[in-house]
Amino acid sequence: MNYKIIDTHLHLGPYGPLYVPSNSEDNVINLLKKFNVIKAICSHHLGFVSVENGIEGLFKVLGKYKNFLYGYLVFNPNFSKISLEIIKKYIGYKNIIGVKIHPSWHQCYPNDLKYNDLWNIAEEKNFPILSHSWSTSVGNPIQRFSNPLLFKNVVKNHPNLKLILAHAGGRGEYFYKVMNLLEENENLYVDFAGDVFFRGLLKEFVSNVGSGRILFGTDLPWTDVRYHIANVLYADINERHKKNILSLNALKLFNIEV
Amino acid sequence: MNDTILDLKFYDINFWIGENPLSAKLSIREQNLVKILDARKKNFKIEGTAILHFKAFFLNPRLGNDIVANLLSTIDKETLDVSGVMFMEQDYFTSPEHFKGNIVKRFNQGFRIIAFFPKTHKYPFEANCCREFYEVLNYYNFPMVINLDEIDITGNKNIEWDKLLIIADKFPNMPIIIDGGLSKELMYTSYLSLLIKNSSNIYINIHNLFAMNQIEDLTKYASADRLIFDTYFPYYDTYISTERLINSTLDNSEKEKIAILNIKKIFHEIGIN
Repeated sequence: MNYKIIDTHLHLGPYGPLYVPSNSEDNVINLLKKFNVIKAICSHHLGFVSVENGIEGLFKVLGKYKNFLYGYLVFNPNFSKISLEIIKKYIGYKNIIGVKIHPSWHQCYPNDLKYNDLWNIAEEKNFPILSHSWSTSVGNPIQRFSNPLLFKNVVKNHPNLKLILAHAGGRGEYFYKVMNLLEENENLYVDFAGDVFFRGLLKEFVSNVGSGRILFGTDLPWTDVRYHIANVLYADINERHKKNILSLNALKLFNIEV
Repeated sequence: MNDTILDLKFYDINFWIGENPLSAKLSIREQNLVKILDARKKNFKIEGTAILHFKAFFLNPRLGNDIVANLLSTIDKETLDVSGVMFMEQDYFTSPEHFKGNIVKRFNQGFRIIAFFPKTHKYPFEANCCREFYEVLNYYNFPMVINLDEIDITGNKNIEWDKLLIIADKFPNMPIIIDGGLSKELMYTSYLSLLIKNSSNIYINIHNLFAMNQIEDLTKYASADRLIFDTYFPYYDTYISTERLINSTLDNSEKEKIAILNIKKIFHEIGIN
């Protein structure tokens, strides 16, 4: 395979409800390397539970895989003060190149005022924010916090904010709402991390909004990298689009050198 | 992506056809069936396919079964290995004798699996309630498939897994294939592993074993003998499943079992002449 890949969305560290017996850090990194992933950007599961402990976990793995791994800090809106202190201190420091938020995990809507300082700092310091986004459904009610439409005014009010909507909205009609958001906001990006492999979906996004703001993300260990590679390589899109998605967009957005 | 020299062939037990009223993109015209199956055989080595019809799910099981029966009758079996997945028709519930007769009839039309959709089609699936039907299937070694979404009564991923083990235990000759549907099987490794270990006749289809190494882990901690290849086409593209299995770290013999041999064995053991 001639493609070089950058995984912009993975997690390291244990998380109880996700039982993956072979989920060691070495196994995750080795699996990525085996399939031509040359750089990866991770958040640490621990960071979602404790931003202070999370920074320790993150630095530990960044040190271990320093020529391969980059990191997202986690912003917890329920601990906004300490989160912002950590972000101000560490953003741009030793492969820390962005911030991850997870409105569902922290049960705080993205249009809540608690995020405002984060948006402002991200604009000022020019770092990307990766946010979980998902469709709202009866079977998964916690996802109401991550409804992608809740970002509409956020990106409108912060025109220089570089925001990545992870999972491209997650399911069903929300993909099309996210496409509309992408058309309206040139600083908005998406990835298809997680179990988002629906037939023809990638081609539809590329046809409607181009390939320039689609990032390759796996959500490892939640989802295996092999699915994601097949989803791009076999998609009915041209070589230029595939290269954009697999690595070129990430190199540009995160200013990564290879 | 693939650097293996194994010439892996597949049998897909989860291929839907017909008009899906929820999405034109998910609708597959019946007149395109042979063309699609030919292309899948050529491009992805899908040698065999078990077909389900959207009308059987969304409207009327009997109508869908009849359409599939008609399609099966028109396909040249020398070039394409196809079978049907029949749905429980409402009038089967009138008597077990009627059900038994229809299993034989549908088998002779080319059906090799019966699908249970208890939540959507409003009937029970528990061992005692459905005893008479399971006795017929058990008698014929006829496989059933049941979708996890269909036994997730609250819609909140609270599945009564033990009920599946009770059915398996009481009807050991009836293969039970657990279909993930659109459920998040990626978080179910512990459940699925225990279902396999604690039964002799529960199988899992693989189309959404999405978690890292989940196929390898279930093979290692349970058995490759109980995983069955499927694509869940047209919800997912065919290559999503084929490439995952081809690029797995399993032994070639394990890959072949999952890809085609396990389901062929189940079909071979159906006791209807």
